[in-house]
Amino acid sequence: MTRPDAITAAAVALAAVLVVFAVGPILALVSRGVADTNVLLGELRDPGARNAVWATLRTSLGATFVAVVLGVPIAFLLERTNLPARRMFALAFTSLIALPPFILGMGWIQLANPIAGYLNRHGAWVDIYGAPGIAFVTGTSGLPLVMLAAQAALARVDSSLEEAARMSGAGPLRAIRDATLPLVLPSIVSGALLVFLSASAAFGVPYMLGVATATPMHVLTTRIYTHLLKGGASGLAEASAASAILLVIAMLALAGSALAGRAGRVRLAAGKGVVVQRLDLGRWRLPITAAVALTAFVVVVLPLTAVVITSLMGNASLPIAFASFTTAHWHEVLFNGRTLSAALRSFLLASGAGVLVCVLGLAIGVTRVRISGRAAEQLALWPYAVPGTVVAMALLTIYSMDIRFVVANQVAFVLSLANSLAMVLLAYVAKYLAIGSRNVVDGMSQLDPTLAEAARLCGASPRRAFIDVVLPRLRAPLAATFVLTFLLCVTELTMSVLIAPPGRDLLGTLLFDLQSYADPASASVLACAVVMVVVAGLTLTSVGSRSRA
Amino acid sequence: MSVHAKSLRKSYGKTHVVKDLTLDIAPGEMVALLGPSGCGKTTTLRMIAGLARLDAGTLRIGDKLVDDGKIFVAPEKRALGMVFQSYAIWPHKSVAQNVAYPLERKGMGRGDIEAAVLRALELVRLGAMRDRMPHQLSGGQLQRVALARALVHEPEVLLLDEPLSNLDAALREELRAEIAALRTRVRTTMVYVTHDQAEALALANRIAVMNHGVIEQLAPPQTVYDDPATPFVASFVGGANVLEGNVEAGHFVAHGARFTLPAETAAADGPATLIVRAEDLEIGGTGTALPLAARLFLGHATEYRFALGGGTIRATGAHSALPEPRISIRRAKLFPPTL
Repeated sequence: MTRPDAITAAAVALAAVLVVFAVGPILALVSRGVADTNVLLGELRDPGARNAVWATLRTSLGATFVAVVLGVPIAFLLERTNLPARRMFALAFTSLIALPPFILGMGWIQLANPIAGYLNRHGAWVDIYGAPGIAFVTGTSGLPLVMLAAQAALARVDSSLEEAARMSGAGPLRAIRDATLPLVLPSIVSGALLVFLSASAAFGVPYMLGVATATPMHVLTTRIYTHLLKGGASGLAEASAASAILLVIAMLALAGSALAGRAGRVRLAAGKGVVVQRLDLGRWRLPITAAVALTAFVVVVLPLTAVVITSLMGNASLPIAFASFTTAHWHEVLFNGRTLSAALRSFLLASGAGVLVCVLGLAIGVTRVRISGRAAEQLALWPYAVPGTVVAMALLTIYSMDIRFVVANQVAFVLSLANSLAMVLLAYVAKYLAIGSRNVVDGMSQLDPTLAEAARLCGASPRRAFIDVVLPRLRAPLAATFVLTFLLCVTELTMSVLIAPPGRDLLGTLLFDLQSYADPASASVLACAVVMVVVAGLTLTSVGSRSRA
Repeated sequence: MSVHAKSLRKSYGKTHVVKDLTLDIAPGEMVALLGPSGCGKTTTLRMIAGLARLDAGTLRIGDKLVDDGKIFVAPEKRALGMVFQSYAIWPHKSVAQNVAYPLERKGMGRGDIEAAVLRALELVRLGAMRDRMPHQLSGGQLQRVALARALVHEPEVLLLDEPLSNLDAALREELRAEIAALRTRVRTTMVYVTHDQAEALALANRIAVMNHGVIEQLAPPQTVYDDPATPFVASFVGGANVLEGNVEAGHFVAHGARFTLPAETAAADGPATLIVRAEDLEIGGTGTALPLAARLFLGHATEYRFALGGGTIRATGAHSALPEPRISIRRAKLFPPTL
């Protein structure tokens, strides 16, 4: 309303920052990957690259399958039936979204590696290595994406639609299939594509379960990593070419997701006055509850328990016995200099990223609402959809040289990011900015505009009305943004492993190093500590969201 | 404080929401903007509030120019109070904090604020609720908080945007009486937007009946009711029957039925629109015979619907099991044909 010019100017500045730091590098990387035709063609012709593409597709599709087959029925049971302990089950499955997938992967290695896994002590039962194992672990960690999407859609479908099918002679399952499923299908498809997207961008689990084995199998992200480890100009060029291929796969999945999401939005009601009648499971209630509980046990409890047991035994190959449990090396692992400095770095970086994502998200939200400029919001979404490996590669490529800005022919300042923690921070913020912009824009659009108008009529200036009325209402989304960004960054591996300065460990890279090369038992101790941080963070948010009136 | 709106215009895209609206409100007066949804009444109110800017025209509050398309006084500088349809009670502030807010913005001292908040809450009989949070209040109580917050800083003009439309029927009647009682204690100028003719008739000094962005009639309630200026006003206020037909030698002919016009409704022969209220039709006797289509018992009277053309014509009278299906016009008004 007032000073729209100032806000427009701020929006343009914001968009410029996003272009320079987030979107620009990705475009630069793509043009670099495509420009050097020989390298790109060489990469495309390389059987190793083709195998990696194939492995990426196979593991990602497998993960999507696992997430849909488990996530959709669970969503229906939670949302539409009288399943007991629904809140507890919902919490258990949702917690998977906050657990770093490679900690689940560590748990599964300890459970089901063919030689000494806890499950294979009495005969070879399961082998977690290879494509099926990768698909299973990434699939379970992507399960909440499908489950939450399906739940949200189900909550917006009136049960009377299903009841009408029942009155028309359809059995309960038939009624679900004919009346409800067609309406929620687009949301399920959209959630499934998100699982595909995150699975194709995964690095930790495919590396642990695919590369670090007797018969190594590479996906695109691990191939980019090894190209880069090789070093030199050719390594960087090959990594860029592989990144361009990965980006294409991601963009195709994203386009599909957007299409499915749009189809879903057309069909569903606004969600007001929707009556949801819970289906009585009848005599199936007990067996179904047992099945859901077993699923939660296998998917969440089992791998985490394995990590805890290993951390307490100090050696994954010993027989399990309470007598051999000790917390002695907990002290050893957690309170040595390397761990503490890595933890400190990660905490500072994650806190900084959390704050910056909140501040930028707020700025994007304000420009979006005040001048309905969508540019900044769209720009912020971009890096989030791009695989972390590609974001890191992009920043590496463009900021590996110093960039000199000259202002008014007078002041020159040099942007020197290569091999610095600032670059890590930049990568975290660029990658997770969308969490902030999405949460703030959603929060602001749910806000009754008359609340701010009422403050204006009471004598508040636009800024005052924002501070007194709008900001307090955004406390919950901002807190959620900070916690989620913090949790994702504090254990971040995919980007950190590529851009963390040599010799400066972060929690994610330290965990990765310990697990892959040194000492899985120490890794388990660290993983336990990380899980505790995650649980504490989630508890804080859920307590916070419950106490807000 | 008076309000002077001159030739206000406002459009959103290609839709002209307010077209050339002129309205002068005297100090202490309560004017109701009455009309169907989309008639421009809320937009007019929002322009007075400063929440929407005019495309053209001038708007003065008292003798101060607040908007002429170039000069624009921000809403917080207009010293107004407003009650929103959604109440817009800030959910993160207690009742007292909500009401105190306008005074804090004025920079009033703590002690003065507390006293004024209590006075305002007493005024709407919510003194005991001062420390409650909004989610602990009922709809009617939220409405009263909104009223207290809008009045606490003694605004020059109080704007009310459909303040009662979110309440159930009994509560609406109660709060309507309360606002009427408030008028005897608070002599603030009020602009009241509503689509409910009963509210407008009961509360306002003058009613501006709006349709398609223009004021069709601006007059005291009784005049609007007894002497509607246009067929729209007649049908919107009081729900009169509107018949298109022809005047033929002291009769009105519509859809083949022939009604005798009362002597004072005489007009030259030719096409015309006849407006007649349900209670101004006499049932039985020597009237025009029409088939009875429906009979609705309303409690204080019974409404009879007679088939005419493709629709029905409504008449109210005493309840009777089998009335003579004849109607005659006791009182009516003729307008030029609308088509």
